[in-house]
Amino acid sequence: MKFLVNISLTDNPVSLLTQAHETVSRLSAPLIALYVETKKVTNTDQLKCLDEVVALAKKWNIEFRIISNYDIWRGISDFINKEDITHIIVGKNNSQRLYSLFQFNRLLQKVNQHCNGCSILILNTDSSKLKKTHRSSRFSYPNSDIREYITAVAAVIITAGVCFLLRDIAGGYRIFSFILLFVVSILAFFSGTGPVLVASTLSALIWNFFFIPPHYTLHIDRPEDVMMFIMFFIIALLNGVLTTRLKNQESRIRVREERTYALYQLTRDLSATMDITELKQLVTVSISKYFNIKSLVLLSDDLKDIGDSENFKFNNEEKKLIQDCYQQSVTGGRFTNLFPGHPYSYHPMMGNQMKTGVIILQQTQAFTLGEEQFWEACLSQISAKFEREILRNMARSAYLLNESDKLYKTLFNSISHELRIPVTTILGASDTLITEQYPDEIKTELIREINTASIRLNHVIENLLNMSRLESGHIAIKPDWCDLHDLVNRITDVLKNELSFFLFDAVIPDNFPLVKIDFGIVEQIIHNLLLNATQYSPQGSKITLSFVLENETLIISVTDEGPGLKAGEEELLFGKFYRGITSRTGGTGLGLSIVKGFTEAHGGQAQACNNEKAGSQFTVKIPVEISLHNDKA
Amino acid sequence: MNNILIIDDEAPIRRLLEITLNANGYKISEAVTAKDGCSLAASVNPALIILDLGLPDMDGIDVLRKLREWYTQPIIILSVRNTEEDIVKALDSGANDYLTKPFRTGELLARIRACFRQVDHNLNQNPVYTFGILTIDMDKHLVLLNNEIIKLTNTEFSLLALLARNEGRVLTHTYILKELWGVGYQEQSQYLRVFVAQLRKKIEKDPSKPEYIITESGIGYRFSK
Repeated sequence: MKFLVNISLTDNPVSLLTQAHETVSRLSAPLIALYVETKKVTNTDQLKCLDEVVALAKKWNIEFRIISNYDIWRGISDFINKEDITHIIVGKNNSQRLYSLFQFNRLLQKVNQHCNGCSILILNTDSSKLKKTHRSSRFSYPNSDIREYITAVAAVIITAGVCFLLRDIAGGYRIFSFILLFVVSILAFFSGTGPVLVASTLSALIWNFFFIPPHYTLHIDRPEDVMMFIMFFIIALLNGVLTTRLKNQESRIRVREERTYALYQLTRDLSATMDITELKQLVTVSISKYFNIKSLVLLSDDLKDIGDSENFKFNNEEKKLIQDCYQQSVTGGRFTNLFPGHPYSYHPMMGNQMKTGVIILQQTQAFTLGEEQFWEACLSQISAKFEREILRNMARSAYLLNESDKLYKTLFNSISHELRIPVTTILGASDTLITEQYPDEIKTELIREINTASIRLNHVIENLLNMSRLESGHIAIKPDWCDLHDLVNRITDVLKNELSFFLFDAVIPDNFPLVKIDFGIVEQIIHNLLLNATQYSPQGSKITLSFVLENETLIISVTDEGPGLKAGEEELLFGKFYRGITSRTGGTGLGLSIVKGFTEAHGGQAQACNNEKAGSQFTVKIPVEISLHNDKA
Repeated sequence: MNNILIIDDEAPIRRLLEITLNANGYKISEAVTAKDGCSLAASVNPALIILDLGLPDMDGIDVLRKLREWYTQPIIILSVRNTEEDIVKALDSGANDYLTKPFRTGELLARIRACFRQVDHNLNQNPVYTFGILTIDMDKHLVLLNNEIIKLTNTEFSLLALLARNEGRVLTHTYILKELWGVGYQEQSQYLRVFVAQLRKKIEKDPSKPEYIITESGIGYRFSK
């Protein structure tokens, strides 16, 4: 069951809507209020009445729709088919018995004709209150301005004048009736109903007076001329009025279409923006574009402490009202029922689940009915978008919090392990050396253990320090000329012990030019890559460090004959605390993430892949400046 | 027996140095603060000072400069500050050598010995230096490798002579450039690297694994015996 109440301004719509609401809410079925706009409402009483109905509908959460159609029942019929309405509620006016009876029969006919399968509910409405309005508004008042009248009269007189001069040349006077008729039809395209009425009357009289014999009298001799005159009058009138009506219809539809397009445009613009600050800006720009109104968006966070902005200055009372409007989800301020004395109007943004803030408008005049609807549609789009973005941000920060928590735990586990193991060794071994008396060989053995543990401890500390340097963003790259041989010598010297268990080879092509790099940073990168290779490769296998220069990019690769990488591991490897699937115990999981961080700080890229034969290959590409001085200098 | 003054506020480090240096036949004086260090240096006049940069009462570099106003004997810096910037600054402020903590005691002893050797060289005024198969005659501008004369350009010889005279000591890029080319060339480290590469080709067995001219990354060069 779905109910539709047809709001007609000629009956008492407030009473109708109230009754409809009471009836339908008892059935707990959805109700839509429909107003079919057949012509533009200009009467202020009717406008007020319509506003009242809209406000009521809003209060009761009744969907209020306005459609534009020259025929009420055609409009209703289209709507019913679209919305699957099962019941129609119409009002019946009691006050004018005869007229209503006639109208009521017509209504039943229309309903039968247009609304197949719909049940009809007829409610009595007491329209006494509106009787006057209804009567006086039956006719549409000419609302064209004086210029249009002058133009219309002038056009008719000029045409008549020209025709008058040609009166004797042309074959008969009837031809002029067509010319005048033509002019009236043309006028109908440009002017309102009033001027067209005036023009058609005037042209009929002129035709009669100057052209129909006897000339210069309004008297008509021949009966066919009388017929002709009457026909002329009627055709001119109909032509003018119908064209005007079509024009009005068209302009209303155009406005609606423009709004639909604007709404579409707004939705599209909104969905393209993610950043909340940008979104605020977009909303302000859009409102000024579509409504020509200055606006300010205040989100929930901004509301706690409302500051002045470029166009908006608030005193304490206004600030208070903004907060109240937000808290109670009501529209307030200027042109509303709530404190209309304020300079701005405040429109809370309500999403599906939460309030997101308030939009403040600097309206210079109240919204018309259509504008109000358009504004509500825009506001709901904007609110929904803000809600979406705010929820998304919340989800993201929750995720980040979770991640950082995870990070902390991993850090704690991995670092505490890495720090405790060597400390335990040192403590244990030194303790033994102090208290027990052992032969020299065992003593030497223990001392060696202490030594190894200290080196390991030092590695962890270095990595942690480097990581914190990276995290704090305090890495400044200071490139200087470097001979790669120096770099390799330095690294192989530091990793002498670790590399001694492998077949290590460093390949630097002959006549390799000097390159401008940050020695320390690149040293650390290679150091970590080599250390990583020693940790994952079987003893005695080959580890190769090679350098290639491609254009102005230094490519450093470390290849090993270890177990290689698991599919999908290539990117993960460089993540913080990631430990290879095949990794042995130990290691902080920081080494490769430092490689990545340092490489990126140096403007390069780090990659990992599997070697063609066996093992893995880590490649670091760094853009470098190359020395133009050759060895011969 | 050489007297060494240790200025360091960390007791475990002082203890470690004391044990190590005593075991190697050096006499030790200790100071915890810069103020004590300076007055002790004046009263004891040690043959060498080991200085920590992170002292509680004064910045290490300032202590170094203050000592250098009158103290001419070697000063070795021992610090946790490990950036090239810090090292270069210390060396340019008059330190003979720089070791970062954690350090290997073997390394420290080698550096200390190198410093003393240098002092000996300076005292000897002997113009002929011999390092294994390499002989450098400062007066005659002659370099012999395996008793064969090596042809060097003037700049190459000056560079080698400068490094050799300061054997065991790190000379910063800036220092070397200033000594060889004068003020205004300090930024031309590219030249220096090219000359070092040429020199290595002439005197090193394997220029890619130099034994004499050792690179101190980002800092400078050291001539090693």
